[in-house]
Amino acid sequence: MIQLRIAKRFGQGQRAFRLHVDFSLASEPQFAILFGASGSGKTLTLHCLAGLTKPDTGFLVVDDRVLFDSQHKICLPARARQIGYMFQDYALFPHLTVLQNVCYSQSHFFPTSIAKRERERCMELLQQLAIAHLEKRLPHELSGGQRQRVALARALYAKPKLLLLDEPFSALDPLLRGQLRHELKSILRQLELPTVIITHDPDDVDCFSGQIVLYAKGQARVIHDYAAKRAAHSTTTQCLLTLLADDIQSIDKPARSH
Amino acid sequence: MELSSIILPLELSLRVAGLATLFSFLFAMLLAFLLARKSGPIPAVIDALCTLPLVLPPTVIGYYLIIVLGRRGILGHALSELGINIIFSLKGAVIAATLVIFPLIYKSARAALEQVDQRLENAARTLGASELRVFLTISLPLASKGIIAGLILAFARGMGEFGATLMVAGNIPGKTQTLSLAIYAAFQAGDDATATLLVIITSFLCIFLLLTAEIILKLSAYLRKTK
Repeated sequence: MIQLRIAKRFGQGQRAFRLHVDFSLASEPQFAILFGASGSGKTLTLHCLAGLTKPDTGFLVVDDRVLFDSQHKICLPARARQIGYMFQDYALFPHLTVLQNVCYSQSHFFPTSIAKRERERCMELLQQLAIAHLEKRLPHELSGGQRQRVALARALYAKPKLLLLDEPFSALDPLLRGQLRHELKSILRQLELPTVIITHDPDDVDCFSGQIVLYAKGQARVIHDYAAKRAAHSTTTQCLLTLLADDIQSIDKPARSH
Repeated sequence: MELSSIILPLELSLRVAGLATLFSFLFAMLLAFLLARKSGPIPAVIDALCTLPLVLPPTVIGYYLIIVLGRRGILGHALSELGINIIFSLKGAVIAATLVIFPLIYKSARAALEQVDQRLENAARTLGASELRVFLTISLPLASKGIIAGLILAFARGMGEFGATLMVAGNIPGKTQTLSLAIYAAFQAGDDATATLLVIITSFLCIFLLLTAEIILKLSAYLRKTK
């Protein structure tokens, strides 16, 4: 489903951050989880996938479609990639109503004018997500959970081929998190939409049980036998911590020998 | 004192400032769109050039305009062949004012546009929007308060334009004599009553405009807080 090999460098000298990731994800299972500490390059990877940041070198292929290839000078703009992106704090357009937010990817240029057909399709989607009654509200009038659904609806309305979720639950009340996690999972299951999820919450890893990509200091590796490794530990947190510690050691070793 | 000696300069000032604000606005928006969040030497040079009218004496701007647009000027010669004369006309006054107020509009627009949350613009991009659509439907509406406040300031400054206008458009009553020129003319002629009245009108107009700009800015700050 996703083949990815990218390098991106920010800053100079001691303070430089270098992202260097090379992995591929299968189309089954549906979910892939990028797990790791903040600042390890997870969001940057999603930005590169979505076309919001241009990698220095490498390539990106999603479903046999080349999105980026530095050798052949291919770089599709974000608008042409058909990748849905749900931002950490949802990034709803504050000056537009829920309906106008969700319909933003429509054919009309101005979001305030919505064709009847688009409106009907949008209302159907809002009903599916049980937020149809919020149609005319502005984002600041919504609760955290409602905002998340509007953001999801907005991303889904554009009919993406791949969905990226950047810490989908971190902006929510902890008590709401558990419930919304299972709801989101069942919605995405129904849609059969391949989804990449960023998180540093072990509960998310448990819930979305899919392919795990471990991030540490700008590097990443896919954990192929996660289920077996998980079984060897009593809790998910312990298992992930052990795996991460291995990674950090292996990254630091060659650095020390310099 | 004749009523026309008050009304005519007032009307001319409003017309010149209005047109200059409109043209400056359109040009500033075009430039802001093209240079949005770009870094490097070319945008930096253009940025500096766009600020130049703010620091140069208006007479210097007037002089440049005469060189370019005068009858023997580079552009002016070609235009006068076409029967268009800019020097000593209202067009000249509008062009002079446009140039002088451009930095006010451009700078405040750039500042307001840079305040817009980049994630919102990125969200629009992932939803299939072109750069122009992102600019017109996301960035511009969200920066509108700051831009409008800049427009009002620029309009007020345009009404008071003196130096560049005098050099390019002259001081022809009823044709190019704006408020500030009329005040100078009345004062020179010893017509203190007219001068005083024009000064009072100008002052009140500017105070009104500044208050409006202030209220718009306060209102937007307040609205942002309640969100």
